Amino acid sequence: MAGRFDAAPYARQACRGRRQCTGAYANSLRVDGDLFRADLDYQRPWNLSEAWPGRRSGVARRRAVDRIGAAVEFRRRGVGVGETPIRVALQGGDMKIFALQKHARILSIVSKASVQDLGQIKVLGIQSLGSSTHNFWLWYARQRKLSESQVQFVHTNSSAKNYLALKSGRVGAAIFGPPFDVQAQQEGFRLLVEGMKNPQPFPATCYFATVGFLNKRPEAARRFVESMKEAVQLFHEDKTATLKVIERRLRL
Amino acid sequence: MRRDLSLQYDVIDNALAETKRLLGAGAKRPDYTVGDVIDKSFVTVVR
Repeated sequence: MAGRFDAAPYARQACRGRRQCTGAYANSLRVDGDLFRADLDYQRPWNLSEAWPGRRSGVARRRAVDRIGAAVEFRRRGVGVGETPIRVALQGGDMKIFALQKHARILSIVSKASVQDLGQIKVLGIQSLGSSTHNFWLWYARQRKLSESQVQFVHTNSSAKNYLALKSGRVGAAIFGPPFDVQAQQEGFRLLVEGMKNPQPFPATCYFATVGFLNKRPEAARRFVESMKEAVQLFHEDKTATLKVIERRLRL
Repeated sequence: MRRDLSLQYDVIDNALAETKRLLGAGAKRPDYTVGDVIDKSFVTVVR
């Protein structure tokens, strides 16, 4: 469709020259069709919350979205697949999810060379239970009608550690994204599911706030949601504006 | 891509189940459901 494009090469190119991205990655900023994913720096995933398109594009300011108590006030704990607010709520805390965002997940399921099919995986490295990587596996396992209990999970806390766990032989397969999947493939590991070639419309981000905040300032939360919708729409349709936003985000 | 929220709810439900399992008896609200943890008056699909 006209006006829709894949911005990932631009983001990767932009990151190449940036010192703070050394050893990290400009993962993907794929803007095509229904898919949207923005992860620009592996080393600081929480800092780079998916709220940034709204902020950097100026949409948030236009909609008068200030420190709304979600991704902004909680900063590094404002976004995630949902485990943080759920954990807080289950432990009696004052926390509610008020928006959900879909992405194109580009995680890969990588195994040692001897594993040739998802059904052969016995020990799988994930970041944590309830994480994107865990949910990604559950989603795939259900699609393939595999038993969810066929694998033993090993928590590693990060993609980098997932990759290292695979290299060390601690796990037979692991879930992670670029650049580790490319590195792993070059080192002879097998990409059972290749994320970059097969991005999945997978929900991986929720926005949450305290119930007190949502009761006290519901309009601020609504403005936040509206600004994110507008920003994502902008990324879908306006290449020039999107490239400007990427430049600002990367401080080029 | 579906516009409905069922897939998101599935993911949240997974996270809820796993967190409950992780917390075990430490969970103060073991009966919490997806409906309790999401404020549906705000929830929308950002796509």
